[in-house]
Amino acid sequence: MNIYQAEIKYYLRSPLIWVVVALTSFISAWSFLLAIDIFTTMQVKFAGMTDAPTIVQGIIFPVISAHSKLLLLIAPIIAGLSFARLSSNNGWTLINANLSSEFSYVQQKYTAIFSLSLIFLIPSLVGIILLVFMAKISIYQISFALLGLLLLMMWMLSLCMYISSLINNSGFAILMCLVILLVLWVLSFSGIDVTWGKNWIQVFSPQYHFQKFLTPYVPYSSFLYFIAGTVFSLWATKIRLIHKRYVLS
Amino acid sequence: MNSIQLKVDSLNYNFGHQTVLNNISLDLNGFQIVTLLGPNGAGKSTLIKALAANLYCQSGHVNLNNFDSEIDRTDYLKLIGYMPEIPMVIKELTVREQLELVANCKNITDVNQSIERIIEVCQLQSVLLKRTKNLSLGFKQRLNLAQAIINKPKLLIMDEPLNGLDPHLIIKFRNIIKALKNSTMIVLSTHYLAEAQNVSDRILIMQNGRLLDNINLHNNIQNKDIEEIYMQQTSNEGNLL
Repeated sequence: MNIYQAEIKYYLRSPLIWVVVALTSFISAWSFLLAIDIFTTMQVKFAGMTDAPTIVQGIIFPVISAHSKLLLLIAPIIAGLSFARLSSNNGWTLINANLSSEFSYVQQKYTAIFSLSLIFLIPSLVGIILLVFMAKISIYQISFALLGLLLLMMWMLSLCMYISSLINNSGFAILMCLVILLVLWVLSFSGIDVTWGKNWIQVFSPQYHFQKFLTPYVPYSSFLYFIAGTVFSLWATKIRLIHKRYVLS
Repeated sequence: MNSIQLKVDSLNYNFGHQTVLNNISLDLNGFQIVTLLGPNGAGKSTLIKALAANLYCQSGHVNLNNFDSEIDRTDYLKLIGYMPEIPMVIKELTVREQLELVANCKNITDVNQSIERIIEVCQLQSVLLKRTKNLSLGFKQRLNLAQAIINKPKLLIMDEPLNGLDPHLIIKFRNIIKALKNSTMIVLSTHYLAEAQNVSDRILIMQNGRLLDNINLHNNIQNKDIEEIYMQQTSNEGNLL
């Protein structure tokens, strides 16, 4: 059994995760049905419009957007537990006894929490894919939006994992991750754009970059933002593991 | 390699303004049991963590068979086993799964064979499929020991291994430790003077981060002498080694 398998087993056997899965599945299914309901009601009014919203814009993008907000809950819980919980069971001794590199350890843990987080998205993704085939709509734009969602998840999980490595208490780690992600989300609001021109603080927000994946243009800079941010957080976590050996705890 | 040499050279560690380890130097050779004694806050656990490469000190070196704990970390870790004071248990895993995980982290090739050997030595057969969170303290300590010795270490470092154990388990632990001595140097810390006297070949007395005395028990020292020496050293700090 390696670190990846141990992490997967830990989470799948933990009751908390299944409560969160149930909660997020309910919210995502509800948002999906709500989007369909609203779109069906509005469809009559769309009839005379030249630029009426398509199914993709009216149903699928709102559902994917709702998922990006659900990640604000999922990422802190899953990744917030990753290192912070080790202090309560002396798990850091295992990290210190590990003969492979620190980055390999971090990477295995990260792959495990990433795989687990996919569980939360599967019910809605299946719904979207079924809708795509049954309504015969272009999958190109949707694939791009889903890629954005995956990149956003990668970014958030890696940041929360780093925050978790800094904190010795699971509950506090989850709270800190939640607060930081919420602050970053708030930064993406574009309220002062019109009056004051470009709001450069927005550029730091992952939600701002995610929104670009819902447009018809290829957002290369946002792609780079997510990849570089993920790699940086993983590297910072690795440094933290080494640094921890210099601190008496 | 059958011989073993542990060298600690001028180890210092400060925590804020507090000196936790103060110029600790040691030179230990061959398979033996070395016990660290000292009052609470003497620096025993910090020294143990430094020996286990879980803590890098601000100055000084720890060498085992010429492998530095910081520079040659991988080679150093291959030679040691560390049993922390609080057992490392991953609550959602079973005993067997946790042993497999530790074996994997320590790059052990014959995992099944190693686990079979270790469960026999530590008598873990009855709890192998139990989740670690449901274990009693005695079994948690046995699991803790099993994890430390699964890689057949040349140096076994144990931080207060007898804490919270009932007399039966203390006797079992003592026998296991004595059996391991044939192929392993064991460094352990404890508060039990009689136990220290019973199992050790050498006793190191610490206080305020300093090493006060290094006693070879093969020099006909009686139990009472240890108590006297300990009380004398830790009450007036004695001379620095």
